[in-house]
Amino acid sequence: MKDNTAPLRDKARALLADKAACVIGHARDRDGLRARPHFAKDERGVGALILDATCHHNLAKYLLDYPYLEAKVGIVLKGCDALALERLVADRRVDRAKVVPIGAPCAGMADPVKLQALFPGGVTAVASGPDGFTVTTAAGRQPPAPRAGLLLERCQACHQATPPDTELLAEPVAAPTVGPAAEVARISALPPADRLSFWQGQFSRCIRCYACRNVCPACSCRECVFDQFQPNWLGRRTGLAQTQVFHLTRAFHVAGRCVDCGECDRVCPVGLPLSALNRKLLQDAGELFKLAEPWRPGTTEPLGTYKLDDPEEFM
Amino acid sequence: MSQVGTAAGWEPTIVAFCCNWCSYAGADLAGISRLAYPASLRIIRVPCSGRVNPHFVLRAFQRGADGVLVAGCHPGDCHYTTGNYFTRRRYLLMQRLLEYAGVNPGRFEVKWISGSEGPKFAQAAREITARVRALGPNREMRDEA
Amino acid sequence: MTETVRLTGQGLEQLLGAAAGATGGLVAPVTEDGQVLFRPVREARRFDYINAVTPPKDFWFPQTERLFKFKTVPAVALEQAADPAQRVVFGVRPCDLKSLVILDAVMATGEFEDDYYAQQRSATTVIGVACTGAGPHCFCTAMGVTPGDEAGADLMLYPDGDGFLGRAVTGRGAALTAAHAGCFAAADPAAVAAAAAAARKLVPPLAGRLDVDGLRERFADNWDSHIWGEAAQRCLGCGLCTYLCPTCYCFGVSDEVRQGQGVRMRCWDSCMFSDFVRMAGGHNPRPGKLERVRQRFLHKLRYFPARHAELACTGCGRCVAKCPVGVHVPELIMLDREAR
Repeated sequence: MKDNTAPLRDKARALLADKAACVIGHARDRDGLRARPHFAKDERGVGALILDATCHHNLAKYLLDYPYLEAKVGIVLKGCDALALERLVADRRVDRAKVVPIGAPCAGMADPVKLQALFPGGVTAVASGPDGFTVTTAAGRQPPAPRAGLLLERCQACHQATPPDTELLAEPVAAPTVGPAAEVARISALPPADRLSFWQGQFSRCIRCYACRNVCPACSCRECVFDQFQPNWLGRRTGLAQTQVFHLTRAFHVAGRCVDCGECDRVCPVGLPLSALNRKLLQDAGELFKLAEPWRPGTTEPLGTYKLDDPEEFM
Repeated sequence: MSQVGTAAGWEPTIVAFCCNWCSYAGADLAGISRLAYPASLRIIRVPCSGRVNPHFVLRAFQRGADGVLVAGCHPGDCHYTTGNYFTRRRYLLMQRLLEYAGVNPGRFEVKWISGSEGPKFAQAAREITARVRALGPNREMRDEA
Repeated sequence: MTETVRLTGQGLEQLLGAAAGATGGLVAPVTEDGQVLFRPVREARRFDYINAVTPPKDFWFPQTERLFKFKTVPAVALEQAADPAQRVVFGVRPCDLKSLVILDAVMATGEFEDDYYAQQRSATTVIGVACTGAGPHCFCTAMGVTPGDEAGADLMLYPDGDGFLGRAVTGRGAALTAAHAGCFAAADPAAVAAAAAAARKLVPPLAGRLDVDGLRERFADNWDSHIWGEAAQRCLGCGLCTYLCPTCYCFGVSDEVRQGQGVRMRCWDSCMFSDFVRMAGGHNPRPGKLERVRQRFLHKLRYFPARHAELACTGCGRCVAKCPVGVHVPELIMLDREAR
């Protein structure tokens, strides 16, 4: 992504002048390195907006916090985030008429961990292009960094680089061609016992903080089954089996509805490869029911429909 | 519930979700017909196989089931017209997810059994019991005692 | 009770090997898939970590703890959980050591002593290791902890060349050095004091940026501030910060009952979850993210100090490092400063 900060601020100013309640975007975190979600409501807030290759947060789910407003809400959407908005609209959780999408074409995001290793002193802007990253720090523009050295892993499997049907802040960018997810293939190729111990090893680190659920644009139930205590489906008890059930249930709940934005991987504090569960389901649904991966707006979710001639593999 | 680790004389516990209209009637018919099948099945009657949330299956394993059977009307015969078509899609995916997560796919099965298919129900019960017995107790996804 | 010791790398290996062989075993930082975590181990190998991703809290205040088993059929009968076995936790940093002082103040001192916690504590020997470097998210010195503090440790070690200088801080620590006297050599108390003083001088960069002057007074006076709304609008409402926090101690108690028998257990809960204070009738006194965020940070910086004279934050920096949306203690301290 180019540094789109200036056009974003202009756009935000115009929206707020037009009585928008808020513009949801990003601001530089105090560490001078990462970005963080930011809600611009006045000129001071607009002045803090940034939009560059550090702004990897998918903001769409914050729209749930604005359910009953009369005024519109502006929101910055990359290609992947636009699918998330469509997900929330399809689930009837967001009224699209209230949303003004601000489209940000994106050639890939920088990994904050890799960025920190290379620029511990902080950055002022990070731009990405098909060839690599251009980082600007307080000391000025740095020599170009190769794409592979900084790219956020999930951006290697980009499904949509430019949000469709929105007013764009910059020229459209084409998404790279995506092959099947390497991690899913790797795990699938393991012998069954190793697959079990791989996942059990991963799940044993889970602290059940539910960050993956809370950030997920496909997880928007008003009350989650894991928060219900009558009946107490899972409760707060932790243990390997409970955690397995939690993650497999959640993966299944978003099966075919997942927009593969990769936010679950990003927020997990203990580094679980959660998207490897979701991608597996997307691939299987695609293969079994001949559907696009991930879910695309205007199509029925694979588990919300059927065909008379669906395969019967084991029945 | 089954006792993990008692190899000799161990019998699996299999949770069978049976739809009210076909498979539960099929189980009834198997009983009325005096057909012998293993006592390992614990039948849970559900209105339709489409009622069986994947979470139920995972919970059954977590709470000690060694195998899970979901049984419903044949496709096309659903009492609610289309319920089992959704079941079919759901558990096609579920079977693959379980396998991917390291759970032996032999522990889980979906069968279409009509109300007149008592022998088929008994056969399905014998098959899954034999298969799960050979696999041994579920250690892939169950609560520590 | 003080006793200063020197421990060579070999001596440490021997000591930890003996601990690993004992009934309760050894807990030490290990790397799993690139994540540093405290785990039960056979041997400790890692000494180059800043700190573990998750705090060692789980080993004295387990995330899920079975309190007792019970039967209701044929008559009510209780079966107490077995007493925890003696265990050594190695490699705890001063921020996490300080969390023990804080948790002890709540659960192991005064009128209400929590038996379960007290049992875990007395079964655990904690070996602290002073920091040799600060991570980008550390801010302990701003919270009154230094990278060389020993409070909370039973045996405190200061890296010194290939080995460690150390001091038995408590009776449990002295018992450990006495029981494994062969692993230790005597050390000059002055050398140990010098090593401790050197470690205390380390200042994490983030701490230098925090203005904590009059912190308690400021947070006694900002209930209505706009900073809560500002932080809360970003909050995802997950429990990440509370579960990674070494000093958070909220829990819920629940029963799992089946066929006339069950287990009563207590599990960590989080004030950031929407149902945390939901009452039986459905009323929720903290209905929104704003109220919940305010509760969490005021608990750390106002309510807890008012009751126990200590901040309930040790500056470990886990919330800074891991909160996906930048809502953490330093953020609130800075927001408060700017709002004045």
